[in-house]
Amino acid sequence: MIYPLDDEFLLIKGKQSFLLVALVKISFGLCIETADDEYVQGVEAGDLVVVSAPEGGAIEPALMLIDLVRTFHVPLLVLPRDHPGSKRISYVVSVGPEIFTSCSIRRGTHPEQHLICSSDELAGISMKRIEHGVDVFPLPGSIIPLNIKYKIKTDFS
Amino acid sequence: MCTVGGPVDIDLPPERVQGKDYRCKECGEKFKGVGKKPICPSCQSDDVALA
Repeated sequence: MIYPLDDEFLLIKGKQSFLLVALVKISFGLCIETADDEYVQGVEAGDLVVVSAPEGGAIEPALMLIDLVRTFHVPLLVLPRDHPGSKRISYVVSVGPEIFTSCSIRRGTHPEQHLICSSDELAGISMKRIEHGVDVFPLPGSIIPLNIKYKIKTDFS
Repeated sequence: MCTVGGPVDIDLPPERVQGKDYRCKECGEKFKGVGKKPICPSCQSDDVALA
Protein backbone atom coordinates (compact mmCIF):
# COMPACT_ATOMS: atom_id res chain seq x y z
CA MET A 1 0.00 0.00 0.00
CA ILE A 2 1.36 3.38 -0.99
CA TYR A 3 1.20 6.32 1.39
CA PRO A 4 2.16 9.79 0.21
CA LEU A 5 4.38 11.68 2.62
CA ASP A 6 5.84 15.14 2.61
CA ASP A 7 6.63 16.80 5.93
CA GLU A 8 4.26 14.66 7.94
CA PHE A 9 4.79 11.31 9.70
CA LEU A 10 3.07 8.00 9.10
CA LEU A 11 2.00 6.16 12.23
CA ILE A 12 1.50 2.40 11.96
CA LYS A 13 -0.05 1.48 15.27
CA GLY A 14 -0.76 -2.02 16.49
CA LYS A 15 -2.46 -3.00 19.72
CA GLN A 16 0.71 -2.85 21.79
CA SER A 17 3.40 -1.32 19.62
CA PHE A 18 3.93 1.12 16.80
CA LEU A 19 6.14 2.21 13.93
CA LEU A 20 6.62 5.82 12.90
CA VAL A 21 7.85 6.62 9.40
CA ALA A 22 9.11 9.87 7.87
CA LEU A 23 11.22 10.97 4.92
CA VAL A 24 14.75 12.36 5.04
CA LYS A 25 14.62 15.99 3.93
CA ILE A 26 18.19 16.54 2.72
CA SER A 27 21.10 14.20 2.01
CA PHE A 28 23.65 13.80 4.81
CA GLY A 29 26.24 11.46 6.27
CA LEU A 30 24.67 9.48 9.10
CA CYS A 31 27.24 8.44 11.70
CA ILE A 32 26.76 4.98 13.20
CA GLU A 33 28.84 4.45 16.33
CA THR A 34 29.66 0.90 17.36
CA ALA A 35 31.89 -0.23 20.22
CA ASP A 36 34.83 -0.64 17.85
CA ASP A 37 34.43 1.84 15.06
CA GLU A 38 32.51 4.62 13.38
CA TYR A 39 30.72 4.08 10.09
CA VAL A 40 29.13 6.74 7.92
CA GLN A 41 26.08 5.88 5.87
CA GLY A 42 25.18 8.22 3.05
CA VAL A 43 21.46 8.85 3.18
CA GLU A 44 19.57 10.67 0.47
CA ALA A 45 16.57 12.96 0.45
CA GLY A 46 13.50 10.77 0.31
CA ASP A 47 15.08 7.88 2.22
CA LEU A 48 13.09 6.60 5.18
CA VAL A 49 13.63 7.23 8.87
CA VAL A 50 11.73 4.66 10.89
CA VAL A 51 11.30 4.53 14.65
CA SER A 52 9.96 1.39 16.25
CA ALA A 53 8.50 1.14 19.73
CA PRO A 54 8.22 -2.63 20.24
CA GLU A 55 6.41 -2.21 23.55
CA GLY A 56 4.46 0.91 22.64
CA GLY A 57 4.62 4.13 24.64
CA ALA A 58 4.17 7.79 23.88
CA ILE A 59 4.34 8.95 20.27
CA GLU A 60 6.16 12.19 21.05
CA PRO A 61 9.59 10.67 21.82
CA ALA A 62 9.43 8.88 18.48
CA LEU A 63 8.62 12.15 16.69
CA MET A 64 11.53 13.83 18.44
CA LEU A 65 13.86 10.94 17.70
CA ILE A 66 13.10 11.15 13.99
CA ASP A 67 13.84 14.87 13.98
CA LEU A 68 17.03 14.38 15.99
CA VAL A 69 18.26 12.08 13.23
CA ARG A 70 16.93 13.60 10.02
CA THR A 71 17.14 17.30 10.94
CA PHE A 72 19.92 17.48 13.52
CA HIS A 73 21.96 14.50 12.25
CA VAL A 74 22.48 12.99 15.70
CA PRO A 75 24.62 9.82 15.41
CA LEU A 76 23.10 6.40 15.97
CA LEU A 77 24.59 4.35 18.80
CA VAL A 78 24.85 0.57 18.49
CA LEU A 79 25.27 -1.36 21.72
CA PRO A 80 27.57 -4.36 21.92
CA ARG A 81 25.78 -7.66 22.00
CA ASP A 82 24.60 -8.63 25.50
CA HIS A 83 24.97 -5.06 26.71
CA PRO A 84 22.78 -4.65 29.82
CA GLY A 85 21.36 -1.39 28.51
CA SER A 86 19.66 -3.16 25.62
CA LYS A 87 16.61 -3.90 27.74
CA ARG A 88 16.11 -0.21 28.52
CA ILE A 89 15.85 0.87 24.92
CA SER A 90 12.20 1.48 24.20
CA TYR A 91 12.62 3.27 20.88
CA VAL A 92 14.91 2.15 18.06
CA VAL A 93 15.59 3.84 14.75
CA SER A 94 16.72 2.83 11.27
CA VAL A 95 17.45 4.89 8.18
CA GLY A 96 17.59 3.81 4.55
CA PRO A 97 15.73 3.39 1.27
CA GLU A 98 14.10 0.13 2.38
CA ILE A 99 13.60 -1.15 5.91
CA PHE A 100 12.21 -4.45 7.16
CA THR A 101 10.76 -5.08 10.59
CA SER A 102 11.93 -8.11 12.51
CA CYS A 103 11.13 -9.44 15.97
CA SER A 104 14.14 -11.77 15.88
CA ILE A 105 16.88 -9.27 16.55
CA ARG A 106 18.13 -7.80 19.77
CA ARG A 107 17.20 -4.18 20.04
CA GLY A 108 19.86 -1.57 19.68
CA THR A 109 22.60 -4.05 18.86
CA HIS A 110 22.53 -4.36 15.09
CA PRO A 111 24.09 -1.68 12.90
CA GLU A 112 22.45 -2.86 9.67
CA GLN A 113 20.07 -0.10 8.77
CA HIS A 114 17.77 -2.24 6.64
CA LEU A 115 16.47 -4.04 9.73
CA ILE A 116 14.53 -2.65 12.63
CA CYS A 117 13.44 -4.41 15.78
CA SER A 118 9.67 -4.66 16.15
CA SER A 119 7.03 -6.50 18.12
CA ASP A 120 5.47 -9.72 16.86
CA GLU A 121 2.36 -7.95 15.63
CA LEU A 122 4.35 -5.62 13.35
CA ALA A 123 7.06 -8.06 12.25
CA GLY A 124 7.63 -8.91 8.60
CA ILE A 125 6.67 -5.52 7.19
CA SER A 126 8.64 -3.98 4.35
CA MET A 127 8.79 -0.20 4.05
CA LYS A 128 10.24 1.10 0.82
CA ARG A 129 10.81 4.64 -0.33
CA ILE A 130 8.91 5.79 -3.38
CA GLU A 131 8.60 9.20 -4.98
CA HIS A 132 7.16 11.47 -2.25
CA GLY A 133 6.06 8.63 -0.01
CA VAL A 134 6.45 5.13 1.28
CA ASP A 135 5.25 1.71 0.15
CA VAL A 136 4.29 -0.45 3.15
CA PHE A 137 3.71 -4.17 2.61
CA PRO A 138 2.17 -6.30 3.96
CA LEU A 139 0.08 -4.40 6.44
CA PRO A 140 -2.08 -6.40 8.87
CA GLY A 141 -5.72 -5.84 7.89
CA SER A 142 -6.76 -4.37 11.21
CA ILE A 143 -4.19 -1.57 11.05
CA ILE A 144 -5.02 1.73 9.40
CA PRO A 145 -2.00 4.07 9.28
CA LEU A 146 -2.50 7.66 10.38
CA ASN A 147 -0.77 10.80 9.21
CA ILE A 148 0.67 13.00 11.95
CA LYS A 149 1.81 16.59 11.65
CA TYR A 150 4.42 17.77 14.12
CA LYS A 151 6.76 20.73 14.25
CA ILE A 152 9.28 21.90 16.81
CA LYS A 153 8.54 25.50 17.72
CA THR A 154 10.73 27.46 20.09
CA ASP A 155 9.80 30.89 21.41
CA PHE A 156 12.56 33.00 22.93
CA SER A 157 11.28 35.87 25.04
CA MET B 1 8.52 -10.46 20.95
CA CYS B 2 11.93 -8.99 20.41
CA THR B 3 14.26 -10.49 22.94
CA VAL B 4 16.61 -8.64 25.22
CA GLY B 5 18.32 -11.56 26.84
CA GLY B 6 16.81 -14.79 25.63
CA PRO B 7 17.96 -17.16 22.96
CA VAL B 8 16.03 -15.67 20.05
CA ASP B 9 18.50 -13.59 18.13
CA ILE B 10 20.09 -13.45 14.71
CA ASP B 11 23.70 -14.41 15.26
CA LEU B 12 25.54 -12.15 12.90
CA PRO B 13 29.33 -12.21 12.66
CA PRO B 14 31.26 -9.20 14.00
CA GLU B 15 32.39 -8.28 10.51
CA ARG B 16 28.78 -7.90 9.41
CA VAL B 17 29.23 -4.27 8.55
CA GLN B 18 32.12 -3.69 6.21
CA GLY B 19 32.92 -0.11 5.52
CA LYS B 20 35.27 1.28 2.92
CA ASP B 21 37.80 3.95 3.76
CA TYR B 22 37.05 7.28 2.13
CA ARG B 23 38.64 10.70 2.09
CA CYS B 24 36.61 13.85 1.51
CA LYS B 25 37.99 15.97 -1.32
CA GLU B 26 36.39 19.09 0.14
CA CYS B 27 37.58 19.04 3.74
CA GLY B 28 40.04 16.15 3.94
CA GLU B 29 38.01 14.19 6.51
CA LYS B 30 38.74 10.47 6.53
CA PHE B 31 35.89 8.13 7.33
CA LYS B 32 34.61 4.60 6.92
CA GLY B 33 31.62 4.69 4.61
CA VAL B 34 28.83 2.17 4.13
CA GLY B 35 26.12 2.18 1.50
CA LYS B 36 26.03 3.17 -2.13
CA LYS B 37 26.43 6.91 -1.81
CA PRO B 38 29.13 7.94 0.67
CA ILE B 39 28.78 11.39 2.17
CA CYS B 40 31.32 13.18 4.33
CA PRO B 41 30.09 13.36 7.94
CA SER B 42 31.90 16.66 8.54
CA CYS B 43 31.00 18.86 5.59
CA GLN B 44 28.22 16.72 4.04
CA SER B 45 29.95 16.74 0.64
CA ASP B 46 29.52 13.78 -1.66
CA ASP B 47 32.79 14.65 -3.40
CA VAL B 48 34.71 11.81 -1.78
CA ALA B 49 37.22 9.22 -2.98
CA LEU B 50 38.38 5.83 -1.78
CA ALA B 51 41.39 6.34 0.47
